[in-house]
Amino acid sequence: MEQADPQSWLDEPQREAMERVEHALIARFGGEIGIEVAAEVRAWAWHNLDQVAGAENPAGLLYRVGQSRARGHLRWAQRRAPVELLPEGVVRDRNAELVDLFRFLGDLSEPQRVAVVLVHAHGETYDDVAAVLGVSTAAVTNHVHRGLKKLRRLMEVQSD
Amino acid sequence: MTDRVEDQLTEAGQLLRGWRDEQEALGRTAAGDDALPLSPTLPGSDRRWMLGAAAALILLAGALGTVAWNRRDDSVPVATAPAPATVALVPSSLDGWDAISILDPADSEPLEQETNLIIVARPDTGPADGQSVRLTAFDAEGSTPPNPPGEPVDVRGRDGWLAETAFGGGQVLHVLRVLPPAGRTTVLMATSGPEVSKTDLIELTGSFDPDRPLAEQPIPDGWALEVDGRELIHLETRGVYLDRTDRAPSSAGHNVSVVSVTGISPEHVLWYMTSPFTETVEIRGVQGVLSSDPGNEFSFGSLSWVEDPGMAVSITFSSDDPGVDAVAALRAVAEDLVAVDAAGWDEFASQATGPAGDSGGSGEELTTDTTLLPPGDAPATAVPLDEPEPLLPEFSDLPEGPNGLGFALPGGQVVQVYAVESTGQLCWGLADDENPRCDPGGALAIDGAQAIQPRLASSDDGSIQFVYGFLPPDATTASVTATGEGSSYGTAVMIGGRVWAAPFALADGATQVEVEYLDEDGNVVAEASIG
Repeated sequence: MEQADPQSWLDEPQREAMERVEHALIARFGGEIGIEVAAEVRAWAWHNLDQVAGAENPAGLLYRVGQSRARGHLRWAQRRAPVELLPEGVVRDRNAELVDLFRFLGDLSEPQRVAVVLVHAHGETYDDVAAVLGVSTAAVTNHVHRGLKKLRRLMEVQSD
Repeated sequence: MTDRVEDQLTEAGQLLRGWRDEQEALGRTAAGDDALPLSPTLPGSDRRWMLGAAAALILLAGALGTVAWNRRDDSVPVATAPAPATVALVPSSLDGWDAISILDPADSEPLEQETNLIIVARPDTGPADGQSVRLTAFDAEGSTPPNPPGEPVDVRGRDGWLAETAFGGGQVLHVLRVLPPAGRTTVLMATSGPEVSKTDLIELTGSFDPDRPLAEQPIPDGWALEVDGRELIHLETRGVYLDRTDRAPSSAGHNVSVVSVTGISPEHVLWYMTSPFTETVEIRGVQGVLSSDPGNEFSFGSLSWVEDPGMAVSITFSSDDPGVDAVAALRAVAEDLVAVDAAGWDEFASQATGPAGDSGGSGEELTTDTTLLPPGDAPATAVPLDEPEPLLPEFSDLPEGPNGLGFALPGGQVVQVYAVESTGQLCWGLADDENPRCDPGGALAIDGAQAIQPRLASSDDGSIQFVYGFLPPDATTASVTATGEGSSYGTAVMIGGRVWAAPFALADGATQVEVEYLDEDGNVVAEASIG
């Protein structure tokens, strides 16, 4: 049986916003929680499609929903543990620099990590990232700049 | 030109997208087609057909009278629950998450055993309008409960219908929301544990219109569950996230339990508070987002959701205990609030404080009027914005540009204060303010008396007033006082490094602000003033 597109109830801009938000949630909360929260956000969006459709900034709205939903997951998570964007087993066999990168991404502040991952790993524009995070484009620029600077420093130290 | 970090990030992106797609495919496969929400545009006849099919499944499962623990972890024994009154089924869409039990509305069988509860529902298999959903406990003989009492229960649902929490004494509370078509919200909660009696199967129903602001809607009675004086509720309803926890004794010595309700809708945030010495204390209004950290201390999170700070706050207070000092009680509450909107504070003031000695006991509602911000009673709170680091360790290393550090004024506004390295200026503005106001001349970059000179920040319309500045090296805090009738001020807070700020309202005719810089022993190490 042909499987329906799971997000066929979203129009193209909404799908793009949803995907961007999912990337952001994974970057912020790590893969394990991020993927769960993303699923909840999709469910919420379905229940509240009118609200999503009417939102001036649907990506920002969905991201905030994700932030709210994440609380329930974080409650039981080991908050002080570094954020793992991907399970260790997925990254383990990759090249050493990539392994280091994933580790050091966990050392960035949350907004830095989200901004860096969205812009440089997923190719999102600064404006789109700003919409997701609900901050100014200048702030995203700042986060990306600081995040990259820190990553470069950490990677440099690692390679020395 | 890219560097190796950016190259690796590009590769990381491919890996992340691949993993995400893989996970979603796995989830869909595990859940089957039903994992997908029904299309909102699904024709009504199809929807009815599917509901009918779901009902048939319900009846079939009911006939079997069993419930399977359908857990992802095969090591957990499959348990057979006591036959529920009507039906039980295992929605495949839940990707391994346990069972749903829809009981006959007439069935009011209480919890029988100390157990954990797993309750889930989803819209296409949920109850029809007017039908009730109840929680049921599963404690099958010979089975191992999925989680021992007292342990947090990880009940992550994939469809957002499941919420749960645990609170003191090992009880586990699970909350289910049901959204019949009329928008009427039914919240069911159940607890388990030795300290809880059989009456803990609770069904709460209230009207909730998601299209109306929360503050305009009644809060259904009984949304708060208190057990042995302890409360911790995690409640989800449509558009609302409610989080409740115990709060440490306030400075007035009262144990004040706080419920925060943060609307998913950006402009809707509501607080609800209770304390053991009151019947209810409710605070409604648009406020910042409260969140609880692992230590159950409330702190302000992002205030970026506040898009409509003008909504009024109202508080009512009553107590049947004539010995209760209502004024003190509400003052205690006030001390626990650090940011409500200005209109709310006014309303609060009109009810919360009365003439000295007015106890407000015996159920009477307080309606007297006085100032809201007695000195030190309403401290500002440092609010980490989206750039929490570095915390202004030295002036030479201050974050530059907007989105530096912020703090919340009692009026609810979030002000960020930051430095511009290139000019040595200390600037401030509302969050994401593209036009910050900067101290002219970069005077704060210098040492000595001028460096500790406090600055008075004031918006053109007077809605924002605060003082800010640097601490001298030997000082750990700043004490702000004012002269002039009608002036008010709050406690100075550190907003990072040596930068402090304090809410301040300079009334007409007021003349002077004095700042004392104190060391950790309370000794004055420097003084400065504006006036």
